[in-house]
Amino acid sequence: MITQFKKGALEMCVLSLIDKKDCYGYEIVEIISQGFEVSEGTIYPLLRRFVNEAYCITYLKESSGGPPRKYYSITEEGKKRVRRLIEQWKFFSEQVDYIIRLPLEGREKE
Amino acid sequence: MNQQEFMRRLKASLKGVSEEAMADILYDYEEHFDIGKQRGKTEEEISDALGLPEQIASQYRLDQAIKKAEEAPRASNVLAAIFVGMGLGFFNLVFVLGIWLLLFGVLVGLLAASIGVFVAGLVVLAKACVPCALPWVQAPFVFDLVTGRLAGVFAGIGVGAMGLLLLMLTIWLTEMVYRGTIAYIKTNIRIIQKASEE
Repeated sequence: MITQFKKGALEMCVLSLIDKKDCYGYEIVEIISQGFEVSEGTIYPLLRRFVNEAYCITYLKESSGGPPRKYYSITEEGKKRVRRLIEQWKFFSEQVDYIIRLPLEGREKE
Repeated sequence: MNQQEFMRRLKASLKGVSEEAMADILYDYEEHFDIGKQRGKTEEEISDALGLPEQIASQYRLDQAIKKAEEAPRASNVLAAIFVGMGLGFFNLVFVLGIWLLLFGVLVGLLAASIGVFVAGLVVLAKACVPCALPWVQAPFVFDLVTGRLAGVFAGIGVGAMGLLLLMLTIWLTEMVYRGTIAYIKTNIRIIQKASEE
């Protein structure tokens, strides 16, 4: 359950990173692995799925002193997707927050 | 595990993935190793963080299996997607497998029934038109009369059409069951999306 939960949140986080600016894979992995305890290898399959579902496109760009890097760039479809995921996430976490606070306020009154 | 070993195991586990996709996938990990090494990490550190190549490969294989089942909803493709998903640790797919096999059995039964009804209609029609045809089928006594044979022709057409209708219904149902199964597997991969969409 926890791992599946994480996978859903992972999709939102990775898409929102690409939404901010075009990223290459290593960059995304680096940021995500700071916040998530995931095998870094699970992020590349996710990126490929995004490309397959037309949420983003890729292009190669030369890097300073190294082979070209594959960059991921979000599409209109991907923007729509990430906006909806974030909206749902906010709604969900607000509900959770609300429920978590409920008993605490009750006890304070006594 | 060094880079060479990681790439070898990843490639070996990606069996069945198209050559074009394979090259694309392997490129991502080559690039990952290259950049990691540029930043002073060892090959072992990088591959440890990536995780087991076999596990990574099965994620690609699940995506491929789902895509294949969507493009060509055949029983074998749907089954393949279920099994790859189970291999990835989505054990609730075991129930899907059970329900799916049950539904599949019902569909096969329906298919056989509709073909049976259709053939029965044809036989009645043939017998009514040409009484001496199909000698192993016994014609009912009413076929001795012209009106009886006329009734037989219409009954044959009617029953045959019913068989066809049943067949169409079965095909439609089969498609629904396949699509439903694939949709369920997909929502399983993204459980959070399902939880908040309800």
